[in-house]
Amino acid sequence: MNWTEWFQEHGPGLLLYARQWTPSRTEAEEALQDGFVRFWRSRAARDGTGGVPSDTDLPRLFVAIKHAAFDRGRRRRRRHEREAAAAEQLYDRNGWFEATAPGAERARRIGQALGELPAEQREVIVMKIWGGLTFRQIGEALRIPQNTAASRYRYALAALRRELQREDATR
Amino acid sequence: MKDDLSRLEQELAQLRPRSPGADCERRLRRISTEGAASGTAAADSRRFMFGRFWGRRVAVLGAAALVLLAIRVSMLLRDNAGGEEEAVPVAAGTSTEQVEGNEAGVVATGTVLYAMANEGTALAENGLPATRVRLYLLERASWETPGARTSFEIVRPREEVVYIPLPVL
Repeated sequence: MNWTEWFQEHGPGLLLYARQWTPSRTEAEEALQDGFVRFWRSRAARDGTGGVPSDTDLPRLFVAIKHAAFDRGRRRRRRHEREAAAAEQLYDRNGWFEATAPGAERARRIGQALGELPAEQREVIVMKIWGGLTFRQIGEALRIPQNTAASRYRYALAALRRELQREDATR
Repeated sequence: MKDDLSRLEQELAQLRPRSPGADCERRLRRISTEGAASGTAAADSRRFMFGRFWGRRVAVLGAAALVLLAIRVSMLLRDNAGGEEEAVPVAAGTSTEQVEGNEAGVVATGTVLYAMANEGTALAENGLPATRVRLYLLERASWETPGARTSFEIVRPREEVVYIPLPVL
């Protein structure tokens, strides 16, 4: 698989993951780039190879992106603490998913509900559903037991369902 | 209950997260290609920063200092030019002669570089790996109106990003 094919398949999931920790799409793309550079740097130091990541590299790539996003966030907060705090309240969760007109509203509501989940549950759901990782890989990446990853996933799904049902009822 | 969760799981799986922009993809492809060719540009930059290439490190730090100096000089030149060309506000409804003593004028300008942040390795516009440095500046202009014995100061924060090329190993 060449780079373009690989990126078309995995890029959206990785970007969505980066957006969990960043206030805007632009920041998320910057974090994505920083994460890739970290990942390639670490892989080159380990075995001297670059290029297209393999499937077994995916968990480490997710972690590199998370750390890069955190670093960017820390730098931002140090500089503009109050502005960053305000920005966090304005995190754009409407544009997380591509959606055609009939499903756009539902996609927006799912994005909003996803954004309301605790971060530890949200990241597991993103890694599992849109990153295609197994619970074992998620556990390794986040340094948690595989069963914890699975239960966070189940809690997240249940919370999402509750939130969406609550919204349906109020409409 | 379990069926509900399965249905929701399927619905989520059908949602497609938005793709990264074409520019992001292009930058990463370039980094990836260069990395594959030379053991990754990022790794090279790490060796450069922390490894045995201390001579090159000194050279780049010197280059960075020169870039900052050039920026500072250009700002001062621009500030001076801006001061001469600045339109002087005149009180409405009065003639130039009558308000001559009330004309506000710039008496001092300055630019202060108060912080810098190393934002890591990135690709410069020419596509080569470079260290991205963000400069935090304050531009200050003091105005005085001698006739009215008033003065005011405008302080404007500004950020500027410069790329310091990394040597190609």
